[in-house]
Amino acid sequence: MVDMSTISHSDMSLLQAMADNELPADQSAALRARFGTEPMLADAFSELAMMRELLHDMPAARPARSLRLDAQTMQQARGWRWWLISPPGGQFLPALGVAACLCVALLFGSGYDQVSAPDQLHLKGSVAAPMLADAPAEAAPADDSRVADASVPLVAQQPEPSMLPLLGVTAGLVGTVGSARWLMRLRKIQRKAV
Amino acid sequence: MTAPSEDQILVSAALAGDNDSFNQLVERYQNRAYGLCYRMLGDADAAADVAQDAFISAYRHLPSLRGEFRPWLMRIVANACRDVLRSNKRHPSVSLDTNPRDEDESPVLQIADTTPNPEEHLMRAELHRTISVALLQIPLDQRTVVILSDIEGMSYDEIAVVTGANIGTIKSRLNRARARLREIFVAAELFPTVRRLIADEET
Repeated sequence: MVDMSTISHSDMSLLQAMADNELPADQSAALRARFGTEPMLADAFSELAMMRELLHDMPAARPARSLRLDAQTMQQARGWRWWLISPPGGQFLPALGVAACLCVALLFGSGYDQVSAPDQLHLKGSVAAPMLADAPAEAAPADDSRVADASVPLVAQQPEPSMLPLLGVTAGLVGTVGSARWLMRLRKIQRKAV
Repeated sequence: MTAPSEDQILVSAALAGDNDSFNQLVERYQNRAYGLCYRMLGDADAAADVAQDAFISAYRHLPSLRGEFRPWLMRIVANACRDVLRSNKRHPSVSLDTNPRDEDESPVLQIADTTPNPEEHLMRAELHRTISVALLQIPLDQRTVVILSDIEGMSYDEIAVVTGANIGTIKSRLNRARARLREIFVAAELFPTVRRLIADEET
């Protein structure tokens, strides 16, 4: 029996790598050349190879039943990642993107004037108070009266009206491009499958 | 650009909605997956359940697969086994006191019997049983790498993918695992048995 304590850690690592066929050819040849002068190395390698072979020759373990998945299990297993690559109604995504683009542009473009008119603002006192920080305390109504001080430049905090349709179009475009890329990836996967 | 492997084709088909393609992958790897579970857990029923769960998990996460299917799957299987062992504090269910004949008749471990000699057959069965029990006696991390390397025949690089450890750690774990196994084999006087079997084969 080989006394492993007489073999250095580095030599043991080399022997192990050689047994695993992970040692470069030149190092392997150099190690084999040492076997003649250092029989302990040869014996250790032989024992290591035998152990490896013993494990490799273990009988195959086979399951008593098939591990195939049925359609119902697969359906239940589909998580959000599956939804991302094959969303329901995925073929309509680009059309939906364009529609979203138009909707957002129309919403921001046409409805802005009504929303931004100061005399039409309906702000509760609790909401208005932080915005009216510079106004005297009594200016903020104690009850839920809905009149905000027109002198406070609320409109200045909003984006320019002309920017809003542009923002809407940009958001819509981003949505459309994203949807198209998503669909292209799906098509690529399907093409690969074919 | 390299041609896609058969696994990649099956994965793509499965992602495109072809359930049968995924089941072809299951059939291709179920023995390996089950084998790893069985060696790690030492329990046939638990191994089948864990392997089945691992395939379900693999299917669930298939869209996030990047790279090769086999090491990715084996990583899922190894992690599933680790989770079971850690949560259940499962202990080896194979005993050295088990009657080798019972083990021999197990439908799970089908020992390749190429020799008609009953004495040699029994010796081999005893040998394999001792090795199975020895594997269960070494720490989990070491057991995983030694099974993947010496039984499954994986390279260090593949084991690195499966275990998520670096090559140096894998070599170190293998070294310690083999040293521990060697101690057990020596204590069980396994090497003389093996030498005798080899000598018998040669004659």
